[in-house]
Amino acid sequence: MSPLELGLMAFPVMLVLILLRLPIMVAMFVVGIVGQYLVLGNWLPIFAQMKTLSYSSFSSYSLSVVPLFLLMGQFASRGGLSKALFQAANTMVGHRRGGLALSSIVACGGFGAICGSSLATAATMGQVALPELRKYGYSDRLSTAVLAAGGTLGVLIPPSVVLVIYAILTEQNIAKLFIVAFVPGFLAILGYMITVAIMVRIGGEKEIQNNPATWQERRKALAEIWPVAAIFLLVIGGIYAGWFTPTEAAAVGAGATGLLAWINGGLDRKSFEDAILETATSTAMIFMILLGAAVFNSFLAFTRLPFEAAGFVTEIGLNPWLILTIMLVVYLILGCFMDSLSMIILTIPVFFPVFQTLDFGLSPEEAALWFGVLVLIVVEVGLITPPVGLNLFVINAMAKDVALSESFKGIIPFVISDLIRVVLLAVFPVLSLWLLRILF
Amino acid sequence: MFKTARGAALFGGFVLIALVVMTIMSVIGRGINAYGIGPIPGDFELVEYGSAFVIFWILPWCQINHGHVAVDILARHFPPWLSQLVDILSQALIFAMSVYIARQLSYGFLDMLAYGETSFILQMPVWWGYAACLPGAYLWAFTALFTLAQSLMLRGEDVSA
Repeated sequence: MSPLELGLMAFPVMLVLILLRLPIMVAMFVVGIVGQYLVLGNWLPIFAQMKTLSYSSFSSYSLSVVPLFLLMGQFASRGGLSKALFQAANTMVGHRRGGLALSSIVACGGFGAICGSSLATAATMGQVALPELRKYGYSDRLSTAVLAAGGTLGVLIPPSVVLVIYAILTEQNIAKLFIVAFVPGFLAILGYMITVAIMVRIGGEKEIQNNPATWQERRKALAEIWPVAAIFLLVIGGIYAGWFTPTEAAAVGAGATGLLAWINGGLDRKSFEDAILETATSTAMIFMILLGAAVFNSFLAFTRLPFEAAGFVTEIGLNPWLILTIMLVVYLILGCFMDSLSMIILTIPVFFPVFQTLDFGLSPEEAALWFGVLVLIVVEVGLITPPVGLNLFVINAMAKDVALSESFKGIIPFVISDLIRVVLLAVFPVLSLWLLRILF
Repeated sequence: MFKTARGAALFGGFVLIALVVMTIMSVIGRGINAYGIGPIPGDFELVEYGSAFVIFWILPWCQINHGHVAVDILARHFPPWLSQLVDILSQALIFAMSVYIARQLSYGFLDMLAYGETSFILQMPVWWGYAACLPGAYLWAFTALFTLAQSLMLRGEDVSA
C-alpha cells in the first residue's frame, strides 16, 4: 500500500476503534503509531520522536490557556454568580410569555461570558433555573431543553475553549477569533429566545406568569452582576487592547473569578479542591487527545494526505460552497456521537488545508476566522442532538423523573434555530466579520 | 491508589494556581514598569515548564476516574462479554501507552541532561522540566496498571456497576 492509501485507510480504521468504545485518544495514538511504522518500516524514528513529543506538546505556552479557562469556569460555577444572573435576567424579561425560560437563556448567555465550557454552563445554570422552571409550571420538555440549549452558549459566547483550540490548530489570532464569534453568539441568544417565544405559544405551555419588575428592582438586580461584566470586559477587552496575551488574560480571569467566588462564600476548602480536581480531569483528557492527535498528525504528514486532499479539491474544481456544506454536514453527523473538541482536533488537520484552497471572496485570515465560527456552531449542535447530546444528559440527570425522550423532543426547535443561524452566517459572512472590520 | 492520584492532581492544581498568581503579578509588574517593578523575567518559560508539570501530574487522576472520552453510541448495545473485552483492551492499551510515554520521557530526560540544553531567558536547564514530569508519568503508568487490574477482576460481573 502506498503511504497515501494508508492515510485514507486510517480514518475508517480509527472510526471503527472509536465506535468500539476505545477512548478517542487511544484510537488516535495507536493508529498514528502503527501507521507511522507501516510508512517508515522502522520503529527507531518513532521511538526517538516520543522522547520529546509528550513533553513538548504539554509545555506549550499557547495551550496553557486551556487549563486556565477551565479553572475560571470551575470557579465561576461555584461563585454563586448563576443565581444573581438568573435573578437579573428575570427582572428584565421575566414578565413576558415564557418569561422564566427566556430568563434562563439570557442568564446562560451571561454566564457564557465568563465560562468557556458548555457542560459547565448547562450544569451550573441548570441547578439554579431548572427547579424554578418546574415550580412555575413549565412542561418537562421545555424546561430541560431550554437549559441544554442555553448551555451551548457557554462555548458560543467568548471566551471559549473550543475556539482556543481551533485558533491554536490553525494558527489564528485568538483575540480576533473571539471578536468574530461575538455577534454570532449574540444571535444565538436571540434565536433561542425567539424559539422559546414560539414554543410557549404553540406548545400549549401553562406557565404562571410574573408581574413586571419595577425599574428599581431591575437596577438592584443588575447591580449584583457587575462583577460578571467587569471580568468579561477585563479578559476580552484586555486581550483586544493588547494588555495581555490570551494565557495572561485567562490567568487574570481565573484569579478574578476565584477571588469573587471566595468573597461570595462559594469557595471553601472542599469546593476549592473540587474545582481543581474537575479542572484536572478535563485538562488531562483534552491534553491526551492533543497528544494522540500529535502522533496521528505526524503520521498523516508522512502520508501527505492533507496536502494531496487540498490539491485534489482544487483540481476537481467543485463549487466552494458545496465543499463547505459537506464539511459542515460531516460535523453535524460526527456530532451525533462525538464531543466537540475531539471532532475539531481530529478533523481540522485535514479540513483546514482543504478549506484554505477555497475562494469565498474573503482574505485568507477573514475566511479562517469565519470558518472557525461556523465550525464552532455545528460542533456545538452535537451537544444537544440525540442520541449523544451531552448537555441533554447533564440536565436530564438533574430531573430524574423526566423521560429522556421528552427532552429530545423539546430540543428539536432549538436545533432548528441553530441550523437557521449556521445558514445565515454562512451565506452572509459579513454578519460575523463586521465587528472585526470596525475594531481592527 | 485513589488517594495518591488525588494528591498528585491537587499538587498539580496548586502549581497551576501558582502559575496564575505568578502570571498576574507579572502582568501587574509590566503595567507599572517603574520604580524597579517590572514583569517577572522569563514568565513565559515558567508557564511552559509549569504547564508540562501540571499535565503530567494530573494524568493519574484522570486515569483513575476513567476520564478519557469514548463514544458509547454502539457500545450501549454490546453484549456484556464484548463490553468487557473492549474495556480490558482499552485499559491494556492505555497501560502500554503510559509505559511507553514514561519510558521515552526518561530517555528524553537523559538526552537533555547530556546536551545541557537550557531555556532562553532564565538559562534554566531543560532537564529540570523533564525530571519534574517523570514522577507524574510513572505514577500514571502505575495507575493505568491498577485500572487494568480492576477491569480484569470485573470479569463475569457487570462492568457498569
